[in-house]
Amino acid sequence: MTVHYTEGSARAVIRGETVVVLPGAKVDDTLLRALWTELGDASDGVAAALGVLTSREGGLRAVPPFAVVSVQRSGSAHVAVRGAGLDVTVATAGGPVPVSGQDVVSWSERVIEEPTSFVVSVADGTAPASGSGDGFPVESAVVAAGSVRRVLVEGADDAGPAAAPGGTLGEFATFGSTPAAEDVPPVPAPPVAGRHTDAPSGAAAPEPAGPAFGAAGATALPGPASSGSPVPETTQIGGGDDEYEHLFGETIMRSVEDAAVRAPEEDEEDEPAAKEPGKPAAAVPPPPAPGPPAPPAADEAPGLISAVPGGFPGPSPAAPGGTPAAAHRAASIGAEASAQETIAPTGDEPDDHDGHTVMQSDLADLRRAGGLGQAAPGAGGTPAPGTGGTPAPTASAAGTGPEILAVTCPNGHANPPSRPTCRTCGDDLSGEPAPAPRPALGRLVVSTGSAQAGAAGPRGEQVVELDRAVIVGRRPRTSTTSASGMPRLVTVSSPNQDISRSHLEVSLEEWQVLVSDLATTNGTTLMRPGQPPRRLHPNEKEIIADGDVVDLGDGVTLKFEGIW
Amino acid sequence: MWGAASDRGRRRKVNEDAYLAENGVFLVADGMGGHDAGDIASATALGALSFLLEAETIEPELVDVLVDVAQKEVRAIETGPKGRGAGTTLTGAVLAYVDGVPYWLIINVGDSRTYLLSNGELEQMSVDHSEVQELIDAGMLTAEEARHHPRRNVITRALGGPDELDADFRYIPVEAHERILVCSDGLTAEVDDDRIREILLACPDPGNAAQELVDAALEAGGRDNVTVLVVDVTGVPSDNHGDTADRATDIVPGGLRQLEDTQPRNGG
Repeated sequence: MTVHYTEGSARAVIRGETVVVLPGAKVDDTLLRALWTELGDASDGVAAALGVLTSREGGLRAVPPFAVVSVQRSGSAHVAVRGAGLDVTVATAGGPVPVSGQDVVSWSERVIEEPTSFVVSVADGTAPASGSGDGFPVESAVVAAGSVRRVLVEGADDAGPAAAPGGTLGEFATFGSTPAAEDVPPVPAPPVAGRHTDAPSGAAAPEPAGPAFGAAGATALPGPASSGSPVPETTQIGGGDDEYEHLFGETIMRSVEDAAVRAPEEDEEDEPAAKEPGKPAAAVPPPPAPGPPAPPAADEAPGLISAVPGGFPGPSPAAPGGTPAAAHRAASIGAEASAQETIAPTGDEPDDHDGHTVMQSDLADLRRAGGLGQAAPGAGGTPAPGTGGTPAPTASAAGTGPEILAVTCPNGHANPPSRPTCRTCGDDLSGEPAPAPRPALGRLVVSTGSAQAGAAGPRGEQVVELDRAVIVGRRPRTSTTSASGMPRLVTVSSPNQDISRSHLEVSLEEWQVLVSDLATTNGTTLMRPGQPPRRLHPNEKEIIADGDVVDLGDGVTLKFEGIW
Repeated sequence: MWGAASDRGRRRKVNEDAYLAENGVFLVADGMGGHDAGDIASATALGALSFLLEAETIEPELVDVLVDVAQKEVRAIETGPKGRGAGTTLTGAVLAYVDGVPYWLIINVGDSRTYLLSNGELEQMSVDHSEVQELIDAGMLTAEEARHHPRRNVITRALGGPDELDADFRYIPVEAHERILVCSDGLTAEVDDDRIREILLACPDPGNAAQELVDAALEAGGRDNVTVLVVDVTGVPSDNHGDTADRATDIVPGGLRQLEDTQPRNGG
């Protein structure tokens, strides 16, 4: 690909179909090299870049501000932006789509269909480089850049309005605090503008995305692509002046921005109600207020309703909730009140954004990219049916454990790396240690004195395979964990209630079995052959050896057999 | 014995909450705001989980598979050209027998909640998958501060999200005289735990308790859909393990499977 960049203080890594821009002068060279390397053969540039950017020690706080734009094989632009002072604008046939990382804890992530061009620009307060015109072309490089622009569809309106009056690159407008086209008044930000507007029929004139986001005050925006008269950037940089405004733009973006670039919107406005009844799946009881546009609810403030055609819950300071809590809520997350008022008269229930509960997939992305290192196909903001939704392989009876370092004998038995021969078949162990599913690490024989329901062995004993953790107690409970991490529960009777409800935890670590007394009232005694009985310290893990017996009280003992 | 109440609240136009309360399966799903078709999402998720009603034995692995199925189905929900993808939370308690001993298998994805009322104390069994919960875990926020935190409604896991799902599970023993509360955040955002506890203790009948809780949420503002399930455990000997056959009938009087959608009350 060819991109054009203008010089500046940020570092841009340009390689393959991906552009990564890191603002600030103190960008780590090793980070740049890692990005360069990872992008070399990455099929998913955003996942690769995020993998590098989030892999450093220190968790989320250590992740630097960044902007990543990668053009996917489908032609879509996948954008991830973290931190203030970086603006990404993707031009599409339907108008420009800004993505800003301001006021987001992790980062903003978008997939934008059919981009025609994009611009990544840095608001670092430096003056725009002069005389660079369109900037310098580059195929792939690591450069010191102030902005990076890539045209994907020649002739289409540019995301960075190169066609702006005076030939000034539009993206330069975001460099300083002064709007580039200072002779043009900023677009007045409508208090409410946006898109949740199917029902009020003709009243909802198609509005370009730009002003809506201008209203949010988060991003400088070029005008509507189709208008032919570029709207000057109403530059709002810095973000220090009105935190709430940025918050508005940011937090609502996830829902509104998608709406803002909907191409088929006109269709729906042509036939506002026709599609609605078909929406709910057949199996679902229809919601109570489907169908034609419902009249505004009685308790809706008329003023807000009249603002509905504009739709976007903009920074109207008065949250109609009437309570401080409502105001707070509106100001913070989804502008719930305005969002609701916005929707109220539409009667189109899929647009019933409450703005209450917001999926923060960014954090999950962080986990995926940094923690697990597996980028699910189709992930990254596009709800792609059928991708990533395959039922996770569920643990079967054997080899359920996590993979641990093992030497596997020719017959497939996993052994601890320290063993010279296979415990199961006696074969020599010569291979290199490699991760293998952990086998059961032995058995726990529960002797209760009275027969227990369940897997009763001889003499009413209960035998528990140690292929996962175990909680033993009178009425044991587990802590919160994933399905694969769920311990077995062993319930033992304790007529005298000597035994605590959750009494003993048996945990598995690598090839070791450990027990810990769960801070019980009456304690736990460990009896090791050849040693005097001793009491376990509460909540301290003790490594178990083969033949160890643990006494819980009330005649209940646990014998460990077949321990490695 | 169980009771349920659901209301779309005073401000929401559609009830995106749904619940499933039948045969030892008590689940609430809160279709997500900011996403299309939240009501479809919540009902779809519970539809997938309703397989639990027919399962002979309930284990975390089975529920996990069903959650994955639900995730897939929620993702596949046609959201039309506007398609932003539907999403939903899921939480609740499912009766599961471990070696013949009854346990509640607590399930959670998102910020709907499952509570246990035991000996007069109310304890949250689920752990919210929310940004504020992560801040609480990190020691940067108290629970009370979280109630007013501007980002308290941002959840970090949901069915239908783009990522591999990691549902939370835990077992807690089924005990007599205990009460399980499963609710959407429309309750807990409006009514604090102390007040919830008072209402639960004041209303012996689970149905009344559920309705009282919904009413309390509406009185406090009712800004979101409110769905409440109250499940009372009866017939379990308070000591150790008892006759499981009795329990199965006593805990669950059978009844209608409901994918509750909306009860238009005083919301409009």
